[in-house]
Amino acid sequence: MKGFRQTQSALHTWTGLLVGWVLFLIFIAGTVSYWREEISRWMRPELSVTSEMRTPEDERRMVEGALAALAARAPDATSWSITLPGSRGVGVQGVWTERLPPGEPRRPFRWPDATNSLWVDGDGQPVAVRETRGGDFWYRLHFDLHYMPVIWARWFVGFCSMFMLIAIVTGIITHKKIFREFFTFRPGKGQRSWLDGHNATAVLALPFHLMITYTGLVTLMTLYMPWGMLANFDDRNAVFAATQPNVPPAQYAATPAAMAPMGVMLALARETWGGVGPGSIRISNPGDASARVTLGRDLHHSILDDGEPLVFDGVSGALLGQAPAGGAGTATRDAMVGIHAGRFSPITVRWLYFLSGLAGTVMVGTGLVMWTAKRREKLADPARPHIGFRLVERLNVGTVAGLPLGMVTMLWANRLLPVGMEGRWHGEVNAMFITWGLALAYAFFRPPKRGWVEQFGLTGAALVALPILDQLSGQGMWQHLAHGDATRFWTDITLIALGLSLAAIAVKVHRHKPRMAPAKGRAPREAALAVAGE
Amino acid sequence: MSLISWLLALAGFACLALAMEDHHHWLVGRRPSRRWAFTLRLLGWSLLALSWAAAAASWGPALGSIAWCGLLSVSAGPLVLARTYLHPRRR
Repeated sequence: MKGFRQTQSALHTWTGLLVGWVLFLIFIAGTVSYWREEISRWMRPELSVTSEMRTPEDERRMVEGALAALAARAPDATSWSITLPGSRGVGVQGVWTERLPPGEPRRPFRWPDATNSLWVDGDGQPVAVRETRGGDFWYRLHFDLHYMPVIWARWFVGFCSMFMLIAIVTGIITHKKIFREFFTFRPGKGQRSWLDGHNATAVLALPFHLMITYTGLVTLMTLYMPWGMLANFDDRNAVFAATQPNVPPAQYAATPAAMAPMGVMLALARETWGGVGPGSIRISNPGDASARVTLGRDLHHSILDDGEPLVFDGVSGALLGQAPAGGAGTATRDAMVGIHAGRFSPITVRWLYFLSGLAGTVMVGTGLVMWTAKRREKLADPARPHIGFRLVERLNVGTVAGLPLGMVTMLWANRLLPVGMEGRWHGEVNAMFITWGLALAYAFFRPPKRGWVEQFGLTGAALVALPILDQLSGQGMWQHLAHGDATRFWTDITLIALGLSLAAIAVKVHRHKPRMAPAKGRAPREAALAVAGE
Repeated sequence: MSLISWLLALAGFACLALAMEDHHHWLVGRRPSRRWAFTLRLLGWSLLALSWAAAAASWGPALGSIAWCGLLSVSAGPLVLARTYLHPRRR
């Protein structure tokens, strides 16, 4: 079976390396997305702990506040969308779509920004909030990427995820010793340590890695493999119609009409969903006789990722329809998507998700570094490695250390860019990618070891400095503690902990003394074994 | 209950580790006998099963199973670190 395992080893190495840098991005962005709401809170410091939504009474007050604010700001919109904060977020966001004169082509999609959205606080009053995508940006980034049409991105991410799945399965076959060497980590032994670290992070969270990669593909399965669906339905629209409430679309009447009280609909929805409130509200043709209100269930209460929408007549308040009960297939898909996103997770389970995700990120990172660690001893002239080796080495520094640096820069941009800046959220995102680009370029001009130390060190320092900056500006941990804002407090503690960990890695790399090169006679054998994964 | 589940997983993994020659030698200074290794392995798996039961009791069987997978990871982690950085005095 040796031959088989060797072929699997090669497959593992090359599937992992080829898309490794993209996988690192997907893993790190996906992992931090388990704290999507917490990051959003951090990035919108204008919304304080008093804007949390705790009771149905809070819910009614804040939703009605948002409706009033939307009616004042965008009375003749085609639609309003209201996003509720759930149990972890703060504030209610209202987004509107402008009504265009008949015949004018549809405007391109815009994410909520200063020109099409507003926020209300816990009292239901409008509040000025800096324009940012918050934690939603990294969530989207991990499957939509950025600066490209999402459809290309999703195909590309799916392609990379498929490679990941292959890398995991071949990895289990190649490193069959991972089970024999369970609980083993031997630091300070060069390539051996990288392999141990790679194996430990892989095997300790193996159920997570398999689950997250597989269910990740399932989230977009109708894009990647639509044939099962198309064999039973005429097209995508037919599928959509069959899973959504069967309510024919309303024609815009152009007749102003008073809206039915939202409180009644909210109460009915809560009753229908067994005590769970809505997570989103969409109103089409608001203020018109044809108004429709669609309530979607808050997804944070069940493993099934299913909004079970309810449609109401916006003027009479009558329930027009609700989503048909899904079959076993839909439920299976919803459960897989739910397990992937972990929206249902209580805080303990959320930490477990996050730690498993970190393990996955470290697994991808160590895997990338191992490609060079394995080959360094085999180099004909270690002082002048060949171009491929150099490329991988520098891409590793610029991505594994450079991308986190870019992400931290985005947090800094969130604090430093002028609050009223036009296109502010684009500025934050550009800051991230420009920094990452610079980090990549810089990595090519520095010896790799210096590059690791400098980039990890800078990222660590920048992370630790964020809560200090907040404290100096008078909105720091001390205030969070005084106001009882546990979320913001622990977010700052987590930022510091992550920063110190990265700084510790930088110190460790800095102090590292490379081992003496092995005696010439033994090197080929060791290297040959290394390639075989022995 | 979640803490109990974690402790049970920790104990279970500790038993499974000790059932392995290398780790037994590290802690005790000699290899485990065949019987002893088997007993440890049985005990280890039983403790892991109990850990699942505790997680299921805490979160319900569905969410509990998901949480349990995560708990396994964070219980094996400390053992790896202990095995790496602790040096028990050999007899």
